[in-house]
Amino acid sequence: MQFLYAQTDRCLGCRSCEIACRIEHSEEKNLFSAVSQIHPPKKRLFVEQQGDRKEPVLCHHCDDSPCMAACITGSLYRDERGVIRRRDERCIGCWSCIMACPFGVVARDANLHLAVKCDRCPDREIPACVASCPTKALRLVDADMLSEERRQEYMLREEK
Amino acid sequence: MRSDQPEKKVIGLQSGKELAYDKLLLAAGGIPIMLLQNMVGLDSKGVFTLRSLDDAIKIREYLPTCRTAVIIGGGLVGIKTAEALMRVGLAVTVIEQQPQILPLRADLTVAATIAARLKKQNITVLTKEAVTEIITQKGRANGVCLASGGIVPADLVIMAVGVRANIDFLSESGIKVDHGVVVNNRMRTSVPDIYAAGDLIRFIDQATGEKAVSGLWSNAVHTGSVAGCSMSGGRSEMPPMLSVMNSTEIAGLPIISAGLLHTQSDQYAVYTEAQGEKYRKLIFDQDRLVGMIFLGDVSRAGVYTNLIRNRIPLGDRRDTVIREVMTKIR
Ligand SMILES: Cc1cc2nc3c(=O)[nH]c(=O)nc-3n(C[C@H](O)[C@H](O)[C@H](O)COP(=O)(O)OP(=O)(O)OC[C@H]3O[C@@H](n4cnc5c(N)ncnc54)[C@H](O)[C@@H]3O)c2cc1C
Repeated sequence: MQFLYAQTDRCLGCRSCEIACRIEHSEEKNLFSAVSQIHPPKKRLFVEQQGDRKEPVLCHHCDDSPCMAACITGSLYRDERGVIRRRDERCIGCWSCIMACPFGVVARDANLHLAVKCDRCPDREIPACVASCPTKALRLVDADMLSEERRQEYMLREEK
Repeated sequence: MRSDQPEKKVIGLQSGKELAYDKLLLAAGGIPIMLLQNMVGLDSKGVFTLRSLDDAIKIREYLPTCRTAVIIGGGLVGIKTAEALMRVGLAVTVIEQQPQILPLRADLTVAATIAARLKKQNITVLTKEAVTEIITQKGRANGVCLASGGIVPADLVIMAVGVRANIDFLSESGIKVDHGVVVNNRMRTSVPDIYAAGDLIRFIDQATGEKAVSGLWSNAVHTGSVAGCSMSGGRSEMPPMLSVMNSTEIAGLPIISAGLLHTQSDQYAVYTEAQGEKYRKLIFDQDRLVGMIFLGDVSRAGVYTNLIRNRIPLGDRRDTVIREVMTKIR
């Protein structure tokens, strides 16, 4: 299983990921469309800053997915990639998912009356945010690979 | 369920048959409260409650003969029903006996903002008013009498005065109930091999520390999965739960509220911020967030409902939370 991983010490707070996210979710998938279409697309990840620390806050597609548990119409579901997605026709805009998400990464699209969240770019192999990140702070990683990497990091730190 | 049945591990069916079980899950949900069982006119045609799809279909089938509707009860179900009936062209009046609509889900400010929006959509909202009698003509409802003396015409009357746990069928079973089925944190009832989940259980509300029965989808999902896990031999525990944790949109305004909403005592510190119709309120008990209301801008609400649910002590992060919530109204 793959997931999006943010290595926060690499994040410059440039917001390239936010822009790329909007473009990917625009009608024509280009910058012009993202800013000029009647209802500009909403971003699905949020670069937050606390003091000096910058960090993209993103959907974790949680195992225990509180958003999906709260969805009263069965609109949210987990696809074959393990990604939590929305069935448009079922979303009634009750915002229960926004109420439930502890990371605050589900947004309300008031124009379309739909709850908006990361769908990990189903049309792309590498999500737009990852592809756009100039410092590789955002990566798409295998769960196994990440724990391996973490172990190595830990060992290196121990050795110092 | 009769008193001898838990011991034999069977349940009785309507058909008269008995069904054996190894483990039994009680998930019969809630049932709408029928206010004033002996109110005149309650059994006439055109009086409905709304709980199931069947109820909704029956109401829809009755609509062609209706021009006016009265909703008894200004809670979430009442208000949402009022909007739906307004949209199909009925003249709708909501009657609520409390001084505000949504008494369990909103404070006075939010209730007033929403009531104003409803009025703009031509829904009449009467608060501090009660229905005493349903007026009928040839067995069909055609109006209601008000406690204050007036009459409101109504071809359709919707009773939306709340739900209670559906536990009457357990009264002889020996299963411990107290407004709802009493369960432990594995969702076991007082009787071996019988579990319960959803709207019919009683639990302890994390925000108030008091016993509570809720009618909330997410609580039903969580307790259901814990019960399933326990029944199949797994280990899983009931998560912290709130009896108020609601989200909806009324008249174009999103609203999310959770935990404690009405506070009288000095024990709590209350912070509010308003921007036009948009409004946010946080209620703290020392450094713990215990209640919140977001109206108009509900972004990131889940961050704060989770602080409430998990009773997270915030220490000196408390001020950061207040600043975040109050300055980020969009
Ligand atoms: C109009 C309306 C709007 C709502 N909106 C929201 C919302 O926006 N957000 C939210 O969180 N919650 C909402 N709720 C509440 C939510 O629907 C309930 O919390 C949830 O359905 C509870 O699930 P449950 O499985 O416990 O009970 P239920 O869904 O009530 O299911 C119980 C089932 O058991 C059946 N049953 C009952 N007795 C027996 C018996 N003796 N034998 C066999 N079967 C029996 C019933 O027919 C029913 O199908 C709403 C409810 C209503 C009515």
